[in-house]
Amino acid sequence: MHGYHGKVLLVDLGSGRMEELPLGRDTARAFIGGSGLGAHCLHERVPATAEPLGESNALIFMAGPFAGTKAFSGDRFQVVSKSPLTGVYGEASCGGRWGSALRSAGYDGLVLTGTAERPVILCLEDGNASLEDAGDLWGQDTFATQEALSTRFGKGFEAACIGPAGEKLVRYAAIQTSGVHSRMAARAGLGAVMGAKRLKAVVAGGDQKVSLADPEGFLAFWREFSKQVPATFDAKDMRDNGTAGTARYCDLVGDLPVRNWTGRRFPGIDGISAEALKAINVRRYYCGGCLVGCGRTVDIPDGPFATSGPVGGPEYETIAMLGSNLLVGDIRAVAKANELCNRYGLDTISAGSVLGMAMECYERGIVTRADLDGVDLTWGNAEAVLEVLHRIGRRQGIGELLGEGTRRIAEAWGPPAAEFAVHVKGLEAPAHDPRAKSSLALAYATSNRGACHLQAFGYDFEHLCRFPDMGVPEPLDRFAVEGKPAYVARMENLMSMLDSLCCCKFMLFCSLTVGPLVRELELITGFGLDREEFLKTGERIFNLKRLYNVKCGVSRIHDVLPPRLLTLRRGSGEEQDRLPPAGAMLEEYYRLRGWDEIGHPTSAKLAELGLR
Amino acid sequence: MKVEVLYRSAAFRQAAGVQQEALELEAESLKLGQVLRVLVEKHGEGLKSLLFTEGKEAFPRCFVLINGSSVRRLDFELAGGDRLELVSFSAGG
Repeated sequence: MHGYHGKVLLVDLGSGRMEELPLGRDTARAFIGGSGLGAHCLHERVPATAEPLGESNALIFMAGPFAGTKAFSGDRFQVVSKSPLTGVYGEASCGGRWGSALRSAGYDGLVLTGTAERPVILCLEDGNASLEDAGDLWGQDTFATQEALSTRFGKGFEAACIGPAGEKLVRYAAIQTSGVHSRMAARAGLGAVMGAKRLKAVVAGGDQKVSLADPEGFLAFWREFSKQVPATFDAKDMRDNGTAGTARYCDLVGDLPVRNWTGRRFPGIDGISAEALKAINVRRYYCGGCLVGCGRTVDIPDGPFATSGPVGGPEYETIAMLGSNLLVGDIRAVAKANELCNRYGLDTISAGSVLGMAMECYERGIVTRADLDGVDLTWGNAEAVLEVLHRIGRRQGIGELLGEGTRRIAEAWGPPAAEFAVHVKGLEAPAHDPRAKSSLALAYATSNRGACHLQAFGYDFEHLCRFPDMGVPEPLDRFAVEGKPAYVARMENLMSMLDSLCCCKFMLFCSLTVGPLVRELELITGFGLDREEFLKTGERIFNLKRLYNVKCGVSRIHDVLPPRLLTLRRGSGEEQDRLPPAGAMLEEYYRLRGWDEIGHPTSAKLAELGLR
Repeated sequence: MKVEVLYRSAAFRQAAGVQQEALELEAESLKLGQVLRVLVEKHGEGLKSLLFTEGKEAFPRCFVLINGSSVRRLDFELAGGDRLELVSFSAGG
């Protein structure tokens, strides 16, 4: 089979038993890779009743068919599991180079079950797998772990590891790769699943290659787009500014979270803008197969927010959630908070949301300074932010509760606090505001992993951007409702494909739109999927994840936005009287999806998609 | 009058060749559209394509801030000492 090794490694960490599961062409064609194949394995192997941090849950790593082939930005990978943060389907996408390292080791994916007796490392090289003791690494942060593994295994190997947050089962713990550059599989707390299994790291490397269906055609395709991609407007902008380049725009249009989602504009935007980031940026970071280089490496040599050297810089999401959302207007403080999250292995989006909620509860007297271990967690207090992040990462004191995520904190602090918890299905909302763009409301409500901007990724085309390839010849009206349910469903299907191909979604803005992606997949796999089948495959994958969630008890009552985003009007700007009309769109969305009135896929829809 | 112009993205900086500039204009006040035309005459087609589409639509992928506030009307009056920022919208993030 072209584009695949045809092998997924099954490891029972409890017994140490390993088995190579054959990956057949029909399954690969139906679910592609990444989160598609991951969801397929989860659906087949993990009962909906499984305790996320228990032995019966599986932790699944999947690369896509592009990994290791030189396809543009196709070296990403996905981690899939039942999430300890949400209790439903969880997935996290990660850049860097670990995805291609997994394929170089000879595997398309890993399914890890059971719980090891003692901390272990899973080592993969050229079709061989072994478990090694990780006792010396347990307790180490991710940077120290990466350095030790680099020394132990040498060049040519990549590690995906957890830090203390994963070991201590923080419910939004992340999985870290790429050394100090820190590309993270951050969302949904899958680092805690890894910690519960006592798996400190998965190290992969080797020389295994997959065959291509049309090597000459692929080379011609690569030459064509290696000129086009870097020449696009967005590639130039992202290369120059990184994702931070969008912060000033988001502030202008009311898309930036300010003061736990209560504010409209952030007065300190200059201090956390792309220009501010440039002052501490020392170089770009490129994920595998990338021609853009939107990643930043920052270095703050001295002062209260000094970094430990050149380290991965904050992305837009981090800048917003640990910056404007907390009224922290100093990029150096945000960069330091980012470094701490990366070292402990924490999701910066959830961490920023938890801190915003805690600051608001402190301000309103719901919790006292004594409740917060004496930390004066006031708005904009960057030192307090760092102190609390240490406590969360180590799960000490107040960090014990704050490591549970906003939904559980609200339960602990009582009903008044629930108003300040901004999550969907337990997953904290990322840094884009549904009050500024209506598609986000529906996307957050229906995303299978909980509030997520990337599962539909349609908001950029609701203002200023065009996507003719997906029926958006001109930017959509960002406040309009009409047509948005169909638009969101269409975009979710497309993004399900990108998450299964494991390629970077930013490439959509850099000339690699749907047509070229269909072509690229064909050149690599020869699956013979035309454009319609390509999107139908995305629909199948999205529905499979929904099906798993339905088995976990998800229905219409869970497809809702938090009160803060649904009911709080902000004081100024075009958005002042806008509230996201999620309810109005949901019914039409279900109908278009072929789901019943409570949001369950109908048997006819499942049969049409070949699901059961 | 003199206005300060800041180019807030790579695309603008590449087109203008500078990060910021002080623009001397022979008038006490000018409309935003007139100031942008001066900039286009000075820096050429590269900048024009970022500010206007072929159909003359203004600001297809950018925002214009005057003294920190977004302005989308080409007839907005600028005065001496105003600060004009050109902010592009880059996708992603």
